[in-house]
Amino acid sequence: MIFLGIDIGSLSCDAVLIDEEKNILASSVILTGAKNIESIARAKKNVLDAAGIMEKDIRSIISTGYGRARVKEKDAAVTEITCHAKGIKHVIPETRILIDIGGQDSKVMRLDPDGNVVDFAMNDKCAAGTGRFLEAMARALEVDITELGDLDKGATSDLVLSSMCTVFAESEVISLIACGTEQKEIAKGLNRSIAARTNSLVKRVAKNIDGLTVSMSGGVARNKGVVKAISESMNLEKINTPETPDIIGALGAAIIAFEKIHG
Amino acid sequence: MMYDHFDNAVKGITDKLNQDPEGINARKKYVLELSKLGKKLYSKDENIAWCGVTAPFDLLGSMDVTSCFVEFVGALLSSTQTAGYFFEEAEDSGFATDSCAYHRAVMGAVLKNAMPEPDFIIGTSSPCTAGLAILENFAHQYKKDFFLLNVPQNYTQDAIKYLSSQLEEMVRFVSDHTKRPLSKQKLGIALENFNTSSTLLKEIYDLTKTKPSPVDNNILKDFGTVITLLMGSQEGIDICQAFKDELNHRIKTRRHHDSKEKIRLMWIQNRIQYPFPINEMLEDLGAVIVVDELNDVTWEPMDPDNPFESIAKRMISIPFSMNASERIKHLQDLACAYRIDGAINPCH
Amino acid sequence: MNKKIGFTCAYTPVPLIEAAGFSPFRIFPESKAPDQAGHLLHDNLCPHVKKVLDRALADDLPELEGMVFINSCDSMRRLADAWHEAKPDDPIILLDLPSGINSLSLDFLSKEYERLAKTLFKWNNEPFSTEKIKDEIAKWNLLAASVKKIEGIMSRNYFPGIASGLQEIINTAATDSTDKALVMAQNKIEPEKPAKGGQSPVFVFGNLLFDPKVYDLFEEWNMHVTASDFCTTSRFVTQVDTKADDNIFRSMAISYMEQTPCARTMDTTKPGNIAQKIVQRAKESNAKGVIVFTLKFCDPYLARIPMIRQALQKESIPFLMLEGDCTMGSMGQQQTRIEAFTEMLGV
Repeated sequence: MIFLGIDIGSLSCDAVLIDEEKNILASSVILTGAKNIESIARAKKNVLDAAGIMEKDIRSIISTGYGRARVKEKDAAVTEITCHAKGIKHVIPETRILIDIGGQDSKVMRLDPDGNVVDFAMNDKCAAGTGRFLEAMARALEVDITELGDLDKGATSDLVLSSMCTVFAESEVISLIACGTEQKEIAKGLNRSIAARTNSLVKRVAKNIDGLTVSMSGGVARNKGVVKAISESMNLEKINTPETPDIIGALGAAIIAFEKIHG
Repeated sequence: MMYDHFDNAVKGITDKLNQDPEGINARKKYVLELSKLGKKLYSKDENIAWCGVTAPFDLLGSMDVTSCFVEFVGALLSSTQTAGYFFEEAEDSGFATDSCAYHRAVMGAVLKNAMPEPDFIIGTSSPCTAGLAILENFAHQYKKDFFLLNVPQNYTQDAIKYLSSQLEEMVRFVSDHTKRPLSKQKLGIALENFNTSSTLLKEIYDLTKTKPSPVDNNILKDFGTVITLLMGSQEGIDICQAFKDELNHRIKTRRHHDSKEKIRLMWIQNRIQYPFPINEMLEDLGAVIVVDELNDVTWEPMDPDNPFESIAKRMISIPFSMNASERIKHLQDLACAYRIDGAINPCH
Repeated sequence: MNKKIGFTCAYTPVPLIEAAGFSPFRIFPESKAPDQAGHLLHDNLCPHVKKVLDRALADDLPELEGMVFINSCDSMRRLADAWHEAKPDDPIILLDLPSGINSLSLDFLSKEYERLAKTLFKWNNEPFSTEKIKDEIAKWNLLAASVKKIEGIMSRNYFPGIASGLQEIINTAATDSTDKALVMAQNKIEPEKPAKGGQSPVFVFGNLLFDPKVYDLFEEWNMHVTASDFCTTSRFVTQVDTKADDNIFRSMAISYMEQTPCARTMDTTKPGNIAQKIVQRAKESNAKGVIVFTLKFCDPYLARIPMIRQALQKESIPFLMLEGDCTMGSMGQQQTRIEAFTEMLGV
């Protein structure tokens, strides 16, 4: 039996297929774009083609993400908070604090040893510190989003961006460029600002993180600079990141699909 | 940490004043007295009460209670640029990021157990609901007894009677804690001191009305609200006298004519506490803050034979806490009396 | 059809309005009226108050014979101030509501309620009648008892639709008449649909949540509302204990001060007692979790959240805080949080 998880986020639409042993058979990450129904179909086709599996072989489908209700063929919709927790439990089981920075929002979850969510905090009021925010900053810095992660290498100043509103932060970055501030210093300042925001979210679910394993999922976990800044702000030696952080939500959804059948 | 801060301030200012024994130095004397108060608040051997802004500090002083309003700490944390640390604590606990910065800072300090421990807390329902809520949190967190003075908004006979009865109850509450009864004689002296200070305050404010005004943008900053902490004491009278002398000296020596006053401003509500060079910026533009909304005497003289009713009337009649039309009328009166050209209203 | 008296706060005793021959009209912050309140009030002010003012500025109100304001918090004080500007011809009464509960404050509030009663009778050119007030209180108490019964049913089992039905009854009492609400309540005491399982039992509280559709959404999002404590639900329908004092106004003062636990009112002998009350109500209603819906910029509630959170944590009761304007418009944004919370709680 095959199980499918689909995570329809604001930036990307991710799909993961797993088998009876919860092995990942295929995964796909594509841009959601303006028409999410088409993206859902495309992501599903991608994983089916890659795994060489027919749609009829799928035993159960769970959708997640902000567009979870839009997946017509779903057996159930589950929030991304529960799905990310389930997904990270599968790949980094010792995780107790999970930070998920997605395209449009950021969330922090506190997990028990069984991977159940026991508390969470979420910021979806503005794009501060999210994927969209980083996209805007990359644009202001005139670099590709993929280059942003290493851009802060060698930065030495303690610059912190004072504005976290995407619009104001973008103009602050432009002003800093105009003043001749080096790109790497601005990038470091950006990362520190995101880290401060994230740290505040972490404190809402766990005042003290001593001895708790912290992991990060979501597309922004690929940005080494942000991950490092967050670990520095939390006085952690390391934050664990899965190999494929952007499919953790979809993976969790697929595992829930599996568990709904197998109990 | 804060005790050391105040202790250093007391030593530093005392040294400076000793170097200039003939000088008037009103602001220095004022800050010295406040630093001494700060030291007492952060010491452990006094009867300490943390209060709402409109609490009767003269009455509490006459009962040998060292008292202060919690916003004093908010302002202190802001001016020493340490508020950020406490903001975070408050916000992480669910207190909204867009709430009043004074109270957010105090809330953080309460949650961090960084407030000096009081013997009891006296909340006031005016001027704002947030201040009262913070004091309730304070009492809850520190497990301290709480007394609430409900200050009605409407100035009526029933309201005055209600508040004066509460003041009598407050005296019993305080006596229960300090194990000392109220001395009518001491209260009489405190109210006489308050009246003398009030008369001096009126004279100070009359001097500031002259054109050009003898004030600069700093001398009477946050004066009206904070001086109430001292007005029932001889120190309060001395401070008021020093300010009056300084302003008279400025007028006599025509020092104020050097200020090149082009624009006269009114400051609505209280001043900005964090380091921000607005006063200097305004001075560069020839703008002088000649009046603050809270620098005014809006009460009748205290009647030592009828102390509770007098204090109640004083507490209710603060225009800042009344309805908008009363407050606006007060602002209009100030605008006319001080012949202002404009006003600044910050949002804390 | 009686002439209407507008009001905005749960500390307003509806029986006094009806005894004077008026119909109550609570102004809910639901309106398509354009945002104009910012012309008169600061932007960082409670959205409830601003939306009510928007309605006044846009004339999005039935004809009102007068307005009753209570200075329960800073925002309500400012609303009364702004009303003078927005509707200068409206007769207005502003009641002073004490913040603490003690003998002096009850005496004071009883005089304020008496002043309100006399003013309302005068506005309607009716002779003042304590008997009429007592009759209306008796009717109001029947409604309060029916509401309590429905709440009892809600806390024991999940009956789909019962929470929104209860809200409709309470809204009728707030915007139309106690008589009509009473008829509706008596019809609702027997649930229309059978009890169901599969929902997470949650106690909800906060400032106001008045739209019945919100409760249907909660059910869609897997929530069984076991009990609620808003100024638009149980806090509004305050049972007046007529035996509390010989003076009817003092009885009202005692009942409203002691039974209407808005965060702005405190028991000064037990600072922070609101947190214990929330824990108690959550437990009594068999809830597994607690959600607070607070209005943005509502200091009385926001300042008490840390101690409520601490008290719930101590009892291992999961807690979710949601901030917004408490209308359907802002509820969509909360869907993921609420669903995740119910997923976390389980059934």
